[in-house]
Amino acid sequence: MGNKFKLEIVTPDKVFFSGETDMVIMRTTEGDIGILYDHEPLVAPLRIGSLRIKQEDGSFKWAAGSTGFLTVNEDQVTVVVDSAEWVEEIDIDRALEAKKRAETRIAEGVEKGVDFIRARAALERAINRIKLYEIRK
Amino acid sequence: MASSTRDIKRKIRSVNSTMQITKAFELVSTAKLKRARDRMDITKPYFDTIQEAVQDILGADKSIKSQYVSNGESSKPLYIVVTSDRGLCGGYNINAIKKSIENVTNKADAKFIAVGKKANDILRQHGYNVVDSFLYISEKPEFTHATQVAKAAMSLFKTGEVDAIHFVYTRFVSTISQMATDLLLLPIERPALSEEARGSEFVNYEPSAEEVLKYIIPKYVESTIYGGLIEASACEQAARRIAMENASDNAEEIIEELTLSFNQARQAAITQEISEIVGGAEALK
Repeated sequence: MGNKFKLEIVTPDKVFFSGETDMVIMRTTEGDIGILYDHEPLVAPLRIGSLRIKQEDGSFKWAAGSTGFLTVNEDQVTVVVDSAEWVEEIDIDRALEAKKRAETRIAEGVEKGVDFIRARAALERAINRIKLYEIRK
Repeated sequence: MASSTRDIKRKIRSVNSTMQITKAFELVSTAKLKRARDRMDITKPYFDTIQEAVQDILGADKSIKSQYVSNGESSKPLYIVVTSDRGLCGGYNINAIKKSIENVTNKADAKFIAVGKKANDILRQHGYNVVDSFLYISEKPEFTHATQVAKAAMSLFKTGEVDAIHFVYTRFVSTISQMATDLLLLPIERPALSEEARGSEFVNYEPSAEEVLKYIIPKYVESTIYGGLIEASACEQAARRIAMENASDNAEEIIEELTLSFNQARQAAITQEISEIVGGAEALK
């Protein structure tokens, strides 16, 4: 275990995670990024994807994250996301349902003038949840 | 005389039933206030974090150019006014509305987005240009509501129909004190550069500072609106609780006064009856 830094993950409805770790991996708009202790100061937007926090025993704790951004400064890493949930807490039935709903909305969107961007984001979130659930099952 | 005691009695009854209602309202808003405050505590970190990040980015890098960063006067302001849907909450609504129109010099140039029925009604009544309104969300604001409001405001800003977005909401100072505030959302005022070594600290932006800002600023607007909505909903309950508490107190006072005059009237009626009887007996002698 290397040097630790302070990590804080906040969502609009709670402080999702606050604690110390020595490595966190997440998905920025440019690709996956792993942050270790003493990373250079950085600001980057995040995409829908996974959040992985290294734990004491060396294994990663997985979470599904939505869009947001991360800031790294000298003493801590702050991640701001629209929503986040631990993979163990993913409600797979709900995710599957959301996926189906988003797909039908996109399919019939042309006539009904559905908000495409929103439907697509919903679809992406659902797929992300399902994917992470499968990986970690 | 008999009719007057009956009148007073009726009045007491009516005030009493009003008092029951205000008491009930008071209890309801006390419970709701507690819930709203809990929510406010939960969302505070998110709100603060984004605020800080935006200030940091703008403060750290002078070279960033963006349509979102302040470059002087504005002539076409947009005001987002947050009020409640329902009344009976003292000066809460009117203070926010007053605050929003305080700096409007030209009615034709200013646009308004009303959150809450009260702002919508009053601003329209006075001939202000309400371009959009969001009703029935101010008591229980969700993040999606804030996103919608932000979207409406941002699209006006992007098309250049407005060149400044003011966010007028009520700040929660304490349970007995709320303050209507006018916050300039966009363009963002560049924070005064701190004297410390901040300028020399190199921050990496992935992919570029402009791209990051382009992403973060709408986020900032959304989250500020969300935070404001939540805070305002707590204020609404606090204001209502106080208003209802005062109303209950006043009702009690009125009942006391009325009871006194009721007793006086009753006493006067008895006295009169006695003197009539005595007078009658005297006449028979």
